Amino acid sequence: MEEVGANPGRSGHLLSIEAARIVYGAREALSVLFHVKDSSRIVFTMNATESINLALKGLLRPKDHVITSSMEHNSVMRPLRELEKNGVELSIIPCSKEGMIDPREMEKRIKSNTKMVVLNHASNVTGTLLPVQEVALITRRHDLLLLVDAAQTAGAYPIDVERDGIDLLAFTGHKSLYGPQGTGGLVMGERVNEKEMVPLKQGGTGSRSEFEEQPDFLPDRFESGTPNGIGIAGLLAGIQFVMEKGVEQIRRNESSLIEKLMMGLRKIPQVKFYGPENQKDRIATLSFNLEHLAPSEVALRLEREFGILCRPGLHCAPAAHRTIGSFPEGTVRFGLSIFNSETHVETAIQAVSLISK
Amino acid sequence: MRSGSFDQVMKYVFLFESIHRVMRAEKILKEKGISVDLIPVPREINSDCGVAVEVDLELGEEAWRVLEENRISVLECYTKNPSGKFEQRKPDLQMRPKDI
Repeated sequence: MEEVGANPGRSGHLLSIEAARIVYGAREALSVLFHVKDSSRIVFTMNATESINLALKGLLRPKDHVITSSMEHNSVMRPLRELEKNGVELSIIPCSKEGMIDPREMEKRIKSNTKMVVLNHASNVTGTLLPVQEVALITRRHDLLLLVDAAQTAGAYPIDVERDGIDLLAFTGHKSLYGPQGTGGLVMGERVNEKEMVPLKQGGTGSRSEFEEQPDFLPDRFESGTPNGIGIAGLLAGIQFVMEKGVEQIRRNESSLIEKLMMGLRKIPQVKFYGPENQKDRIATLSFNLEHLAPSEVALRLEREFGILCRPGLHCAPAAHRTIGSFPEGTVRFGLSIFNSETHVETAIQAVSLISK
Repeated sequence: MRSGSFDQVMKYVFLFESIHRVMRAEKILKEKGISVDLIPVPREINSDCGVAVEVDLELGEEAWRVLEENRISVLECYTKNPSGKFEQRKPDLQMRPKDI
C-alpha cells in the first residue's frame, strides 16, 4: 500500500499504472486457476454474495423461471426470494439428508420460461459436493445458464469452467483463495451476453470518460468506482500461494485430514454427523452435533477449554439445515484448510471426546 | 503544451477501450520484445482520462500487427512527431480478426 496506493487505471502516472498491473495480474492468475480463456470476463466484486446478486439481478427478469437447490446459502436464497417478489418464478429442488441433489429431479422442473439453474458447488453446512458437471449437461441441453456458487470450493477443489460447463462462477477471495475479506468476483462464460446483463451499479470506470452512459464492455461494465486495489493485491498473493501448492495437492491434503477427523469423531458415540460419509463426495467442511448439547455450548467449550475455533448455528443457510434435519438448532462446524495439520485434527477429536463425556 | 514522453523522435500512440486491454497490450508487446511506454491519453487526440501505449515509430507497424494477431483491438492509433503534433493512422481493415 505504501508503494502503490494509487487508483488503478485512472491516470497515466506510474503508481496508477502499477496498481492497474496488479489488478490485471490478479485477473490473469484467476483465469489460469479457473481455465477462463479471456480474463476480461472476470469481474471483481466485494465477495461471493455480491457476485451472486450481480448474476441473478443482472440476468433474471419478471416471468423468468429459475431453479435452485434446498442446500443454498442465504447469499443465493435471499436475492432469489427478493426476485420472486418482483415476479421471477422460483423452484427449489429438495436435496437428500446428505445434501445431495438428484439432477433428474432438477431436469423435470425445467419449463419453457426457465432461464437459469443456480447451485452451490459445495455446501457450507455439510461440505457436500454437488454434481455440477452432470447438471451442466442438462443446462446445456436445455440452453439454460448455470450459475455456480463456488464460495466453498474456489482454491480447494479443481474448477475448470469450460470442462465443468459453468456459465457463471461466483467466488470469494477470503476463503480457500487465502486472500483478504472484501475480495471476490464473477466469471462470465461465453454464453452470457454481458450487454443484456444489468450492472448492480453505474459510475466511473476510468474508460470512456467523455460519455455519461455506462460502458458496455468487460470488465468495466460491472466495475464502477474505485476498486479494492489493496485487497486485490492480497488476493493475487493468495492465488499465487494456491497455485504454488497446486489445487489438486491442496484437495488431497484436505481430504486426508477430513477423513482422519471423521474417523476419530465416529468413535465417539454421542457424535451425530451430517453430510456424506465418503470424503470423495465432500470438501473439508464438517457439521456434527453432540447428543444433549447445544451447538453453541459445544463451540464455546471448544474455544474456552481447548482454543479450537469453529462456527456453531445455522451458518446463514436455514434451507440447508431444514434439509439435513438440524433446523432450528443448527450444528457445530469444523472447517479445515491447508494450514491445518494432523496434530490439529487429533487435538480436535480429543477435545470433542472430552466434551461429550 | 506537449503530452507523453519527451523524446525528440517520432512515436506511435495506441488507444484502447479499457485499462484491461492496455495491460494486455503492454504484456504481449513486452513478451515480443517491443519496448513500450504507458502515458496518459494525450488531450489533443482524446478526452478520455485513461492510459495510452506509446512505441517508437519504427516498431509501430510491428506492434500493431502483434496486437491484431493477439486480437487486442486498437481503438485509435496516431503518430506523434517531435513537435507534439498527432496524425491519425488507419489500420488495414481487411482480414481483421474478431475482437475479444
